[in-house]
Amino acid sequence: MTERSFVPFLLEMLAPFLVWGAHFGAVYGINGIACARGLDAGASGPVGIAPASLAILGVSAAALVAVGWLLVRALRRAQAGRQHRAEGGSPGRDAVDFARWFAAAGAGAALIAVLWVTLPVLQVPACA
Amino acid sequence: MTRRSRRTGPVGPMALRAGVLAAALASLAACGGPQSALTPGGRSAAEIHDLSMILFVGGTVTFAAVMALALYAVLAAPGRFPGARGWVLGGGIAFPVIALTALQVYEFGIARRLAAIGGPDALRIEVTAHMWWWDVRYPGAGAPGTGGLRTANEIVIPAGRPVELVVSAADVIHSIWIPSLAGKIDMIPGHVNRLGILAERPGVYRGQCAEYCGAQHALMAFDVVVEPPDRFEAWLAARNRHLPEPADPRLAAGRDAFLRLGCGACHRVYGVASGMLGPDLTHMGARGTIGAGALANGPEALAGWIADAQHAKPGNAMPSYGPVGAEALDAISAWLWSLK
Amino acid sequence: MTRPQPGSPLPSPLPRPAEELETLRRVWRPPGGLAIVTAVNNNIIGLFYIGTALLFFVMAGLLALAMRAQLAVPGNDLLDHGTYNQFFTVHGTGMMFLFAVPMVEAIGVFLLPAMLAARDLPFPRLSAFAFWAYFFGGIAFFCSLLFDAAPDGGWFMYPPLTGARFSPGINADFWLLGIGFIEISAIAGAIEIVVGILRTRPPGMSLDKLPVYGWAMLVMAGMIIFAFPAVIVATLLLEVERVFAWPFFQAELGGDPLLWQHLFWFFGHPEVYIIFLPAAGLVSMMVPTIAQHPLIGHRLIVLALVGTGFFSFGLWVHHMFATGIPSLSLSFFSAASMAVAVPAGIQVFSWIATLGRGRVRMSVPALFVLGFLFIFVLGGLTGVMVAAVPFDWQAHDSYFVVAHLHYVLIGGMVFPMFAAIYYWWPMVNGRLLSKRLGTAAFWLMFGGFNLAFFPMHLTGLRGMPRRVYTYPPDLGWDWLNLASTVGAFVFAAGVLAVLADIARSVLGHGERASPNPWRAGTLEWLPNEYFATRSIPRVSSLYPLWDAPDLPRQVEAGGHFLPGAPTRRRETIVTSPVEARPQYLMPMPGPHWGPFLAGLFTAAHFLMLTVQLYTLSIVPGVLAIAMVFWWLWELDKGEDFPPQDIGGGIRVPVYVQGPRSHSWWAMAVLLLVDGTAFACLLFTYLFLWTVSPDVWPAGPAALPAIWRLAAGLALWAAAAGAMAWASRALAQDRHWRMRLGMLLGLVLAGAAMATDVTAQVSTGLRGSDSAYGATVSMLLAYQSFHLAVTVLMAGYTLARSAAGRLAARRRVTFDNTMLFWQYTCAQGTAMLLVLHLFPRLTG
Repeated sequence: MTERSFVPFLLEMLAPFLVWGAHFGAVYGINGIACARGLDAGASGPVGIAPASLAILGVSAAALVAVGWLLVRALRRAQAGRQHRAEGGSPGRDAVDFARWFAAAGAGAALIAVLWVTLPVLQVPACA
Repeated sequence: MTRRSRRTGPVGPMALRAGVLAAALASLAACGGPQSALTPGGRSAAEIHDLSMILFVGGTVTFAAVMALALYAVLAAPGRFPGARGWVLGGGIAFPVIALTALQVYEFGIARRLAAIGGPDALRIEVTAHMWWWDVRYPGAGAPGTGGLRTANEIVIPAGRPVELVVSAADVIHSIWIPSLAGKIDMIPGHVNRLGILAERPGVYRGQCAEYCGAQHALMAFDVVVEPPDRFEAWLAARNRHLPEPADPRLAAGRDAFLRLGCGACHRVYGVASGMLGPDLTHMGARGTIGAGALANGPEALAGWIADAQHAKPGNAMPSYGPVGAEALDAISAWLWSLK
Repeated sequence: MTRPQPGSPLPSPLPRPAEELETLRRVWRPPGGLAIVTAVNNNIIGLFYIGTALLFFVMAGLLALAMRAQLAVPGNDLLDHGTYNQFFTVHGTGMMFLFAVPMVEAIGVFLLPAMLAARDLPFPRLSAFAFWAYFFGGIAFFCSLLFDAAPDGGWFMYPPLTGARFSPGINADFWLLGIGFIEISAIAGAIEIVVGILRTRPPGMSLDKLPVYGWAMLVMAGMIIFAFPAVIVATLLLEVERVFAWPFFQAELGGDPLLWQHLFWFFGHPEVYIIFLPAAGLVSMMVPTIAQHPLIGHRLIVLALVGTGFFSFGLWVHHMFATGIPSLSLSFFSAASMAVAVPAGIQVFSWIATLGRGRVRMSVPALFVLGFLFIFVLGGLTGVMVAAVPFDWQAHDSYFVVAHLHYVLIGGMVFPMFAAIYYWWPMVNGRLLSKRLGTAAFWLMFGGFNLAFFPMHLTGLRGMPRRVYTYPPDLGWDWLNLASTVGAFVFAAGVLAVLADIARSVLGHGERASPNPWRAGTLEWLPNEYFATRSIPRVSSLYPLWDAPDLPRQVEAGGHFLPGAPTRRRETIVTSPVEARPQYLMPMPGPHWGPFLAGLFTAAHFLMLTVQLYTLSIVPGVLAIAMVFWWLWELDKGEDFPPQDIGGGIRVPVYVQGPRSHSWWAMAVLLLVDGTAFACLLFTYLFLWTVSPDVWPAGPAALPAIWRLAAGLALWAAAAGAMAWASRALAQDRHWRMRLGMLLGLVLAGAAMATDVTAQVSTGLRGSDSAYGATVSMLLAYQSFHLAVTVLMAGYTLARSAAGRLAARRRVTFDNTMLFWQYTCAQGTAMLLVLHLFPRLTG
C-alpha cells in the first residue's frame, strides 16, 4: 500500500472552506471597488440591486454550485467508504474515511456560510 | 426528535425566569443618564434599542437554558442524561443556524432603515473633530457671507426633522457618538462619513469621542441640544449677528484684553476676531461646558480655564494665561460669559 | 500495517537490555547549572516559556489593577493621562502579544511531544531561539514603562495617531520594533508545531486518531501562518512611514489610515481564535477525563476547529463597523461573524453532552472548566450581539466591548489555562497542586471576574467609551465602575492564590501524584521522562490508555518502538503525515549556546534600532546571524549510520532528503508565511489604488519602458535556471559545477534586482512622494530583503560545500536554500508583472 500524499488529502478536506474563502474575498472585493468607484449608480427594483450586486449574486450562485458539487461528491465517496469500514478498516482507510466525512460536513457548513453571506445582497443597499 | 421535544419540560420555567431576569435588566437600564443607549431620544437609537432588547432576552434565555443543561449534565447520573450526539446536532448546529438566520434578516432590515435616515431634505451639519474638540458648521445658515454658521463643542438640532452629520477629522481618527440618538461613526482624516439622526424627544444629550485619539481622549465631549422646530429656527436666527458694543465698560475691557493677548489668532468671535485654529467662541456664554466637557461653564470656571487650561486638560493646544493677572482674566471671562 | 490484535506480539521483544535505558537517559540528560540556558529540550524550554508568559500575565495584570484603581471613582487623579494611556497600551499589548499567544504556544511546546509520544519537537534549537528572543524582547518592552517611553497609542496602534507627526517620541517604535520581532518567534513556534504534529506522531496515529488538542494546535499554527504576516507587514509599513516618511497612511499624499486597520484586523481577529482554539483544545482533552467518557462528537469538534479557523478570516471588518465602509460590505462580515458562532455551539454542546453521558468527578480542573463554560457561553452570546451591525454601532469602543472581549478571552483562554495548569501539573514535578487552594482560587477568580466584567456591559450601554482615563460623575457610571474595580482586585487575589499554590509545589510540598492521577486516556499520561516515553507506542484508537490498559507497562518496559537510542544520540521517529507510518529516524540536536545568544543578540539588535542606534545595531544583528549559522553547522549530518531497527520489524534510515524531509516541510511552511506577507503587500498596492487612483501613473508615459520589464523577467528566470542547474550538478556530485551555478545565479539575481530598481528610479519615483511611490518602493525593498537572505543562505551553503559537508546524498541544506531561492525568483517575477502591467491595464 502506498502512502497517501498529504497535499491532495488536505485539499480534499478543505475544498469547501476554500470555496467559501474565495467567494468571500470576491464579493468583498467587488463591492469595495464598486462603491469606491461609484459604480452603484443605476440601482433599480424594489430593493435597489446595483449592477455590482448582480455580479455578486452571480459569484454566489457559482460558489453554491461548487459547494453543492463538493457535497454530493463527498457524500458519494463517504458512502463507498462505509462499506470498506464494515470490512475492518486499517489506519490508512480510517484516515480516508475521516477525510471524506469531513469534506461532506465541511461542504454543508460552507453551503450555509455562503448563503448567509449572500443574504444581505437582497436586503441592504450596496454602498450607503 | 422526540427526545429533544422533551427539553421544553425543564426549560419552560427556566425561560420564564430568564424573561423576568431580562425585564429586570431592562428596568435597571432604564435609569440611564444623558449619554445612555438605553434611553433613546431618536429614531436610530430607538431601533437599535429594540434590537438590543431582543438580543438581551434571546441571549438570556439561551444562556439560562444552556447553563441549566450543563448543570444537569454535571449532576445527573450517567444513565439518566438523554441523548448524546443529538445535542450537538440540535443545540450546536440546528438551533444557532435557525436563530441566527432570523436574526440576520431582522438585523439587515434595521441596517437598511437606518441608512435611509438623512436623505436629500435633511439638515446638513458638518462636524470636524480636532484633538480634542469639535468644530461644528451649518452650511447655508447664519449671516450671509460668513460661509455658514460655525460653533464648537455643541450641536443644536431640531426635533422631528432628519439631520445628516457630515463628519471628518483634521488630525487623527475620532468617532462621534451620541448614544441616546444614534450609534457612532468614525471621523477619519481623508474620509467623509455621514450619520443620519432623527431626534424625537427635545432635551440635552451628551456625546463623546469614542475612538482613542491621544492624551485627552477622555475629555472630548459635547452636548447635543434638541429643540422643538420653532425654537430651533429662533436659535438659528439669533446666531452670528454682529455683536453690539458692550454697554458695560468691564465687558469692553475684556474684549480688548482678548484681542490684545492674541486670543483671536486661534478663536473666532463673529465680528471681533477670526481665528480658525481653535473652537469658535461667538456664543461661548450659551454653552454648557468649557474645553469640550472638561469643566462646567461659568464665569469663574472660564477665568480658571484661561489661567490654567494646561492643568484642567493637560496637553491641549490652549496655553495657560495665568501670568496675565487676575484683572485681565476676570474681564475676559466676564465678556465671554456675556456672549449668549 | 494492520490493527494490532489482542495478544499480538509487541514491536520490541521484552525484556530489554539493561544499558538501553541508561543510554537513553544519558543522551537526553539536560545541562546542569548555569548551562541550563543552553537547554533545548521541549520539557525545559516549555516550562521556561510558560513561566515567562505567566510573569508577563502578572505584569500586564498589575497594570490593569492600577487602571481599575484610577477608574474606581469619577474624576480620580491617581494616574495622570499619560501614565494611564501607556498603561492601557502596555496592558493590551502585553496580554495579547506577550502573554496569550506565547502562552498557548508554550503549552503546546510542553505538551505536544508527550501527547504524540515524540521525544521532542522537530526543531528544538529553533524553539529555544524563539523563546529567548521572546524573553529578552518582552522584558525590554515592559521596561520601557520605567523610562516613560512605553507606547501610548493603544494595542491597535492606529495611525495617524501613531505616525511621526502625532507620536514623535520613540514610544511608538517600542511597539513597532519590539512587538514586531516577537511575532517572528510566534511564527517560528507555528512552524515547529505544524511539522511536529504532522510528522512526529506515533506509528498508527493516523489523522483521524489525532487528539483534539493536536487539531486545535494545527489549526492555530495554520492561522498564525496566514494571519501574522499581515501584522508584520503593517508594522513594517508604519515604521517605514515614521522613519522615511513614505506616506502609506497619510491621506493628503494618497495613503489611507484605514489600510492599517484592514491589515491589523486581518491579523487581529484571527488572533482571538489563535488564542481561543488551543484553549478549547485543552478543554476537549480535559472534559473526557473529567466525565470518564470519550468526547461526544469528536469529528464534529474537529470540523468546528477547522471551520473556526477559516471563518475567522472573514471577520476582520467586524472591528471596523463604524468606519463608514459600505453597508453591504459590513453585512458580509456580519454574516461571517454569525457563521463563526456555529462551531462554538458545536463545541459547547459536545462538552455538555460528554459531561452528561459520563460520571463527572469534581476536581479543581473540573471547576475551572465549568467556570470556563459559564463565562465563555455568556461571552459568546454577547459576541453574537456585537456581530449585529446596528447593535455594534452602539457597543463598539464602549465598555460593552471591554466586557465582551474579557468574557471571551479570560473565559475562553485564561480559565482553561488555569484548569490546564491544575490538570497537567503532575507532569511538571510529579505532584498534584492543592485542591483547597485551587478551589479557593477558582471561586475568587470566578466571583471576582463576574463582578468586574458583568457590570461593564451596562456601563458601556450607558455610554462610557473605552480608553478614557477619567470620567465625570452622574452619568450613571459611578457605582458600576466601583463594582468593577472591587471585582478586579478579587480576581487578582484568586490569581495570587494559584501562584502561591505553584510556589508551594515547586518548593516540594503537596501530594505525590500517581502516573495517571486523573485516569485519562491519552498518551501524555504514559510514564514520562525528558525523552517522553521509554518506547513510542503503537496507537490504534483515540484513547489508547483506556482501550489498552496494559499500555503504560508495555511502554515503560520498552516493548514498543524505539525503546533506546540506537545511534547514541537524541532522535525521534518521523512518520508519514496522513497515516503515521514510520519513515525515518530523525537525529535531534542537543544543548547549544547558539539559540540563547542568538535570541539575546536579536533582541539587542531590535532594541538598538528602537533607540535609534542604527549603526551600532549592526553588531548584534551580525552576531545573531552568526549564532544561527554556528548552531546549524553541526546539523545536517547526512547518512552517518546505516538504517536502524526501531522495532516491529521496521528498519528506517537515519537521513532523508527531498520532499519527505522534515526540513523541507518547515521551509515550505516558512514560504507560506512569506508568500502571505507578499500578498499583504500586493493588497496594500491594490487597496491604495482603490482609494487614491489619482496618485497612480496615468499611462505608459509615466511608467518605466516595457523593455525593462522584459529584462527583469529574463534575469529572474535565468537566476532560477542557474540554481536548477546547480541542483542537477549536486545530484551528480559535480561540486565545482554546482558552485559555479550558484555564483552565476547570485550575479543574475543581483542584476535582476538592479534592473528592477533602476527601472522605477528612471521614472523619478520617490518613496516619500505619494502612496504609489511608497508602495512601489516597499515592494522593491521587500524583494531586496529576499535577495539579501538568499545571498546569506547561498554563502552558508557554499561554505558547507567548501568544508565537504554537502554531497548528492547530503543535501538538505542545499535544498532549503534552493526552495527559498526559487521562491525569491518567483516573487520577483510576480512583483514585476504587477508593477509594470497593472497601471497599464487600469491607467
